[in-house]
Amino acid sequence: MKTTIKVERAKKDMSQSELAEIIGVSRQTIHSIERCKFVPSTVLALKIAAFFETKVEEIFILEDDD
Amino acid sequence: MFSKNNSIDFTPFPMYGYNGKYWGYAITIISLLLYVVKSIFQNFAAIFDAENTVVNEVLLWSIGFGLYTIAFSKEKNDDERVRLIRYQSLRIAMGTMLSFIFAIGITNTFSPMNFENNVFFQMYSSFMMGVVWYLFNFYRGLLFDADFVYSDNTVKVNLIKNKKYFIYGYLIPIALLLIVLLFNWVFA
Repeated sequence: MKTTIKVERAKKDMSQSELAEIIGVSRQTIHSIERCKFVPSTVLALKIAAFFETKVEEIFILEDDD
Repeated sequence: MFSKNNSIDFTPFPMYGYNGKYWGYAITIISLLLYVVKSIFQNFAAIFDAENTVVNEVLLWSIGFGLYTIAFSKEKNDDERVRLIRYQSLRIAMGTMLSFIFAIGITNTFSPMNFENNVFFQMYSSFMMGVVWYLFNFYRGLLFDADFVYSDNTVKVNLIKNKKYFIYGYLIPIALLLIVLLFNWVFA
């Protein structure tokens, strides 16, 4: 799986800490999600997508080997 | 105790809040300092001395209790990733502790121990192994090892993918078992 959270964050000129505070998770969790080391739950993925005003499948993209 | 729908609303074995960590650190550090000072005045008396005093044991248990409080306190931001790391760490600590107790138990079967001298060592070492090993793995997963969360391979896959697993998964536990056997043979 790959994610475009970093790109979306850059569009809003936002740090990982700021996004983490808004979503309600730790900065390390956002960092892990961006590095594709942690797969968020459905609720968390929906929260992130809602914040960036995009669809979940545009932020989290399945790869061929998933 | 009861929620609006009259269902029972309590958490079995609840964690302490984040402030629990401060209490844990305070208890651990104070107990450790007191133990070191006492040991200095007693010329570094052996921890598991047969003449061990009640004060020594209380201080050692206090250190353990402080670490236990730290272990079972929530993080500042206790999100789903932290909960997953906590589950993995508890699983590892529980498995290791059970293996250790099994090792002690089975050596007692073949070489009955003198429990008058060993009961504190058996209890304390089992307790501390669980707590310390949990804390080590929890903070390793939280701060250093991003792949820790999804590391859930079976024994066979571990051996195929990583030959070093044979050393960590088998040789080291066997070495620990032999050390426990030797300890029981020497001090029994």
